[in-house]
Amino acid sequence: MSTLELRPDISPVPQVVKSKRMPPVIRGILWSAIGFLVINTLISYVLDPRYGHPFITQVSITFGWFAAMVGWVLGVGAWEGAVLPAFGHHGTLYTAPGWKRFFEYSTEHKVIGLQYIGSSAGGFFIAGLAAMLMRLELMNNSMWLFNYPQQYLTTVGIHGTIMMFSVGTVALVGGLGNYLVPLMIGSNTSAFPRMSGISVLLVPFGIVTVALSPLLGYWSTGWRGYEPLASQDPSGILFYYLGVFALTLSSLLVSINLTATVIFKRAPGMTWGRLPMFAWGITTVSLLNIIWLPEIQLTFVMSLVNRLVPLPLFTATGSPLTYMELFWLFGHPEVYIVVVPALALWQEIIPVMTRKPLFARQWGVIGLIFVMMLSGFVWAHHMFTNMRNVEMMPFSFFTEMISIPTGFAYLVALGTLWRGRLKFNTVSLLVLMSMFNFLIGGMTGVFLADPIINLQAHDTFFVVGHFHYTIIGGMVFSWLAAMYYWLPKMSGRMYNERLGKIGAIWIFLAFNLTFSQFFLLGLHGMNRWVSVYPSYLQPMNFETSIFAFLLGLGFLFHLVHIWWAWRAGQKAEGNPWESKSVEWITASPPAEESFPVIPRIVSSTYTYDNDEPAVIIPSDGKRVATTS
Amino acid sequence: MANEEPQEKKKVEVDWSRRQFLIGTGALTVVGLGAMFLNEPVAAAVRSVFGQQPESGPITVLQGDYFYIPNYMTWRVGDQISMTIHNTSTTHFHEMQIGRGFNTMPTALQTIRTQFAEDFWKGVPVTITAAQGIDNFVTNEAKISSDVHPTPWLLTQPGNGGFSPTMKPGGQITLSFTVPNKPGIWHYACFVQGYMHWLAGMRGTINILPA
Amino acid sequence: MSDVVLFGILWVILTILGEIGVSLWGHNMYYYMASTQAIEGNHAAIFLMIFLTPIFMFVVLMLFFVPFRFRAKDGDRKVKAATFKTNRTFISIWVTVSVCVNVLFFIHPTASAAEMMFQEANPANQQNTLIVDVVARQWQWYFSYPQYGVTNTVNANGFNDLYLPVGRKVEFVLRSYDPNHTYDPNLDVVHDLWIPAFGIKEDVIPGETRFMYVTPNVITSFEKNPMVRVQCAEVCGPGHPYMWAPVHVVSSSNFATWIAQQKKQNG
Repeated sequence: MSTLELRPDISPVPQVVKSKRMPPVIRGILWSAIGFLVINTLISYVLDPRYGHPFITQVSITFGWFAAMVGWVLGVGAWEGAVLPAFGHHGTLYTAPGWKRFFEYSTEHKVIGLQYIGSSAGGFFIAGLAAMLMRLELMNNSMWLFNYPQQYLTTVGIHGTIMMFSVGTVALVGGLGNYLVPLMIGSNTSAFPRMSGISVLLVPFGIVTVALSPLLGYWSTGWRGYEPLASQDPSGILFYYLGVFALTLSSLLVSINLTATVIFKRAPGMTWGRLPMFAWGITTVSLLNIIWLPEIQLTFVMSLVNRLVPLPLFTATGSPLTYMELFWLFGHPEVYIVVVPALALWQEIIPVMTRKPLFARQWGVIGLIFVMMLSGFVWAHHMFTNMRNVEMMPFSFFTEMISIPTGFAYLVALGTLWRGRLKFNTVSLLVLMSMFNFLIGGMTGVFLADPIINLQAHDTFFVVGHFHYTIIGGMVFSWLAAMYYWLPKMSGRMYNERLGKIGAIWIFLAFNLTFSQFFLLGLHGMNRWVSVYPSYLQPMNFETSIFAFLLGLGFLFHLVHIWWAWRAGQKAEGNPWESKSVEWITASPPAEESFPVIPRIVSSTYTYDNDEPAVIIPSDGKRVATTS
Repeated sequence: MANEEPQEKKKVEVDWSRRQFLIGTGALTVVGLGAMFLNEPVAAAVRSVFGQQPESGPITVLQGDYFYIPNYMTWRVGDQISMTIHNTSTTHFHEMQIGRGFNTMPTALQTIRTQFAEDFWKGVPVTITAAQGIDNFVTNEAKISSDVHPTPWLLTQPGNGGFSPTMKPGGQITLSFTVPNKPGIWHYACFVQGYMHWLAGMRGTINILPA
Repeated sequence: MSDVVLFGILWVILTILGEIGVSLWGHNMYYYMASTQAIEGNHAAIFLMIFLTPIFMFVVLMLFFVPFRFRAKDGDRKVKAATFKTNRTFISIWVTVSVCVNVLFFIHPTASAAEMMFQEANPANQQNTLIVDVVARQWQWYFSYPQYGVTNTVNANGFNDLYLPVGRKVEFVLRSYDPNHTYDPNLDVVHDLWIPAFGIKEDVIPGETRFMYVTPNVITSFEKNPMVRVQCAEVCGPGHPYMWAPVHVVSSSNFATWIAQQKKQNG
């Protein structure tokens, strides 16, 4: 077995039909518009006409939106791809050549993964632009950029909602998870490819919904939608509920699909004991999603109905506190949904880069699983300012305890780094930076877990700094590391090492200079959700904004660099990092059918202490059924 | 686990037009951005191009959180107007003052505008023809000529702020009057709840044309 | 072995430097403190910093140590990475230390400081407590002193104003509703009473009565330091940033004068 790399057989040349069709995205938008107009008109003029006969009412737009979502999904291709086959109609599924595959319905997990990554990146830059507008406004302590305070608050809400539900929850799970997990476990498909093809379409739809929410009025609650303020807000908040519904539905479908994939699609020899750490991370985070996403969806549906009917569920006659409990019951697991795959990425990448076996693997897995379980016990630490005293201690206790399993990720990573032979490149640099940032995020979390300190720091920029350290610092830096690490796999091309390192150092400095000052601002009296603040805070806000702009530019730099490398970078070797993982035995980029012959896994893929391959291609292996 | 591959359908390569795709999505992006960021300039431009007919007779002003519909009106001196102000909010009370210039209150954060300095209604005869769900009604120096049943919400003396009917959520009032000889640009606004509704954008403009 | 020794020496040096930093800067963390609660919070934070510094330095040093010390030179394949997959001693120490430190933190300062906070709220400990009724509405704070029969204290401009005597425990009774428009109890939203210089905040929730206890210990005012202000810390709509009020901590005689003056205004 001198070379492990497999070249796929040349598939038969597909039959090319000359006639053209409407671009699927355009057809999706068209169907979506038709769906909206039909249902909206039906409701606002026939079923539920309102005073003054407005064309758009809260009820009509809610149902119209659902029709638009269905129209979009079917129009892009789920009609031919999923609905007709369900009725036994064996029509033809059209595909377009080249890059156009990424702009239509697909059942191939690698295309879907890249669609997720692309959508997430789109969400990241839209929400990032919102962040830039916020920082621009905060450069001065009076209203100068926005006309009204609620415009600023809507910007805050759009930033937070899109970042959490279309980037934090999606990029590593829907994106890298869909792309890598089947490859890592030696499977040619995910478990439910059609469902997966539909779920990815919900992401751009959800992002656009949230981004367009100001059209219905400026909402002021931020990403948490606290009641009873939410029920007082203009209808823009409907698009917050609905957009989040689409995005969380997408993540829920991803999680069901990937959990089933890990359970049922592993190649021979890929035992649970050999399952790659990233697949473990995706499994645990998928379980978290499956437990908690339905909970937040129900909460938002309740809020929506509470508003449409209207009901007094969360007002003074009901209980405003109930909404907060329900929101954070999901809200804290959410941050682990964001971060757990990032911790798993460290453990995936570091052994390859240090040429060393993964240290204390079982502790890494235990850490991931216990973080998953404990994360359901800590939600009310977001509520020290409004809970009863008797409830404080258990939540404070579990919040402090969750740092123990989280620390295991460091135990594994540091143990693997120690006395390895580190390839010091952009990838490992970004992983180390991510560990540094997440360390600060975690340690400031210890302060926040302490009620007496929390009562000062809560609802201030201290908290904002804390969670940006965990989410940008932990997750986004790891995402970037993963993009550089798997770039040769996804595109067959290599990034520029020098540019990559410059970019990494750039965002590291800009990030730390921005968000470390958030801690100080918060302690000095800067509260959240304000576009106007006392003048003594202005100088520090001004310079923080400058660094924030540099950070934004830094991310843009990485985007351009990756884009350039993808298209014009140097051709990469098949396995440039000499990894033993299964995904690297495929072609780069992998063919539609990643493994013409299903590989056999013979040992842990982290055995860098010997030169034996961890994966072999059985010479008597059965060729899997081909699609043509 | 038997490895059952789903019966995949035949895949046929059919191209679609890149140009249609780019023009379509690009045009929609432009429309979306325009709708988000340019609605106010576009409305002003349309108004300046097409002008506006002076309104008279029965007109309706809807109040919401925190806006008026319409937020621009054209009146003409001497026209008879019967204006119904209807608070459509389910959660907030709203008022409608009409005037020019501002009274201010200094605070450490910033100077806050508390009401109009010049009251449009000064000396104007007004008839209240209908009222329900009124929170309070400051008449200031207007001449209320109708005989509305005495109600606790009616504050008739000057010194309680500018002329302003304040409606409870869902409340409405109809004021009948002849547009007085005060041509020019006037503003209307709501200053309730710590003067915050004005800051939140609850403002409008009346262009009063000479007779 | 030399790696371990070098690492250990560097770690000790960095930890010492870090602890010096904590002792120099730690008491500045809260910027400005004007209540016993803020001082308690600051003490808790300093305690955490003292114990977190060695852990922080350990990880950060490792993150810098690795690329310098264990870096693969380009093309150099002679030096092999170590091959260990586990190290019972290291893991045992790691797990033990992380459990112990977290349990310690829970006992002190978390539980101990919380216990002091709970004692402040104990009805048995309210002999001389000043009661201030706080009503939050969109977007204003109303302060009343029921023990003195004074409602809605305002300054000369008519802006809501809060005066507190120094050294006397204050019980803020927090309610959220609109006192001028009581026809609908569902009008108001969640606010949060925060006085940055007092190091404490508490949400004000419609339909609930909540309490916050604080003991101002310095004569100060908003004019002296802008952190001595009431600030709404929970988003409550467009007026949220403007929902603030100045605070004045005065001597008990000045407080009495001020109360008398407010009484006159109240009529």
